[in-house]
Amino acid sequence: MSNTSENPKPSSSSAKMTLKTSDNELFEVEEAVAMKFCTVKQYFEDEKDSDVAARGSTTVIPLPNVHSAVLATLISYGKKLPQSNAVADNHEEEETKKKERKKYEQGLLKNLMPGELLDLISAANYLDFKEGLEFFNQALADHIQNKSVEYVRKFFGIKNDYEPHEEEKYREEYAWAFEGVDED
Amino acid sequence: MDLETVGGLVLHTILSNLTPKDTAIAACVSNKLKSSASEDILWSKFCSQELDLNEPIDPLGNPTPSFKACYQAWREAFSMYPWPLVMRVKKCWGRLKNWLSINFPEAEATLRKGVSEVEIQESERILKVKLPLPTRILYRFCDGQEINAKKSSGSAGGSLLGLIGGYSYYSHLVNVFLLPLNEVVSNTKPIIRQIGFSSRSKYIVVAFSHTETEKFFFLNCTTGQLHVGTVNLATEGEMIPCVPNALISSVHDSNGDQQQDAMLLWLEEHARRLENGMIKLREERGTRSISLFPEEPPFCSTAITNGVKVRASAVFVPEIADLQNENAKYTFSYSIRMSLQREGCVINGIPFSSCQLNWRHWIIRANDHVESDFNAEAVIGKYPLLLPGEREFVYESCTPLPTSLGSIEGSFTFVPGRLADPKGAPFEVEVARFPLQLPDYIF
Repeated sequence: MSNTSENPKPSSSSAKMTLKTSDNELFEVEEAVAMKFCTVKQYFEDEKDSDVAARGSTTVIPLPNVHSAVLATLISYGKKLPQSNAVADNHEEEETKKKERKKYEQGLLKNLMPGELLDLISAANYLDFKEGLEFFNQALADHIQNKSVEYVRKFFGIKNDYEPHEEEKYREEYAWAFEGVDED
Repeated sequence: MDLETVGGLVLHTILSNLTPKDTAIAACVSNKLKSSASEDILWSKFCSQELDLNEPIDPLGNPTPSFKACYQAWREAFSMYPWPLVMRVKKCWGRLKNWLSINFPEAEATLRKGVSEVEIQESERILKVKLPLPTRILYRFCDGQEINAKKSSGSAGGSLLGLIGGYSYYSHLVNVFLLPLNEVVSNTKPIIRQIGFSSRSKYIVVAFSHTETEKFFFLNCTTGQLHVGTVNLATEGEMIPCVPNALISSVHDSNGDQQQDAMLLWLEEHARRLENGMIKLREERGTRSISLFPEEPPFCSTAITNGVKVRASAVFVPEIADLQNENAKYTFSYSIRMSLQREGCVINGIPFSSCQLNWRHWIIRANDHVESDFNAEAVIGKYPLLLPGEREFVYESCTPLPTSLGSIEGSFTFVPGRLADPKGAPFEVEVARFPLQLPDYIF
């Protein structure tokens, strides 16, 4: 999954950037995808001003808060998004791409552990990756929609620190929230 | 990483995507989550989105200490109803009250505060009916209009403040109010008895005209449909449904969220028409009222000839309808508005500073068949003199029709100058065709 930085390939059509994760793995990413991470974009633009010769593949951008597994997923998701510099597709091509993306998204979510989902959200937030943040946040919201308190606790591995009478009182007061909740 | 070690900011973005229900559940998951889930900014968004509230005010109009407490107060006050239906009813009243506050504040002032659950149950007990769900919630939000004026001929301001509004032609004047629940209770029995329905009838009187002309609206509590009495109401109990039947559903079913009855649909349609200007406020002799004559195409036609502008539209008059009379089943009242542009009356490039009506010519069609085609002098006995840039001259008349669909078109013969002193030859002014149509929503 990771590429080490080698001698730059001659005249590739799109520039690439190298991202370094918290566990010291290097990822070579197309500029178009990397720019979706606004934190990276900001870093790149700051660097560009200071060192023209060091453009593209020789700059390594450190991401000390992001683990390689998480970055891999975010890059993979970023690649599947409609690229802003892509040629406009006709309606049919657009529809096919949309369907593919939906299938990919479903596959992605199916295999995620709750902890991983939180890592993705946290990393997307750190990278200021708006589409990723929205997608994974919504995935989380959809997953716990209308679920019971016990389900949410189990899903996230949270220990219940309420006193029984406290919890009872809360459930009575907010009875409307506990109606029609899905069976566990 | 788990939900409790995730940073506060990230936790906030997660919680921002949850529904109010899930946010409240999140607060019960653990104490740590409770404080994040209780952030008032989350609840102020819910209050805004679901209740159109920018201030934390409870259902009785009292301020609450936080948006969270506010949302909680609303959910508790309406816990006996499906919440989506509550939000929908609140929106409906919100639109009506908003329109009134901007355009017709004297009518907004007549709206009564909502009734309590106890009052609804008591009314149901006396009337021996179960109100459809949406209607119950409608009364929880607003208990009809305060009717101070006694029944009069309508020239006094008090009886023209009806929320539903009305129309007038010749001596026929209606203006319809929504009744408060206690008036529904006191008026239903005598009226039901008068029209010969059984005492176990499920019809209740929910609105009527506060003028000498009688017009009554009945809600059927079993079916949820609204009906208006025709000319045969007293003798045959004849009524016409006011809302497309197919739209009414699940009026007594508290499960699911598809409930809609005729009262709700009717008021939503009324709000739509007020908002898009299809019906407007009209001022006559210094008194304002909601007029049901359409003001916009396709129901209102406009034509300009030689600087004379004529606008025309019709409204169905259900209280005069006679479903037993094949020749004149339906009656329509039409309103004609004429005015002269600022440049005056211009005929072949020559301007005149006034013009006066002499004759009218009408072609009335039932479906596409010409029912009548006639010429006659004046309009309602008058010969309006039009001066440049003045307010429209408006008059109403009526016509019966054997079918539910038809049209009127025609022309007026004007002379430039005045009839007593014509400045040129008479000319024809077009009245563009306008429809006569039994509407899907009857007001």
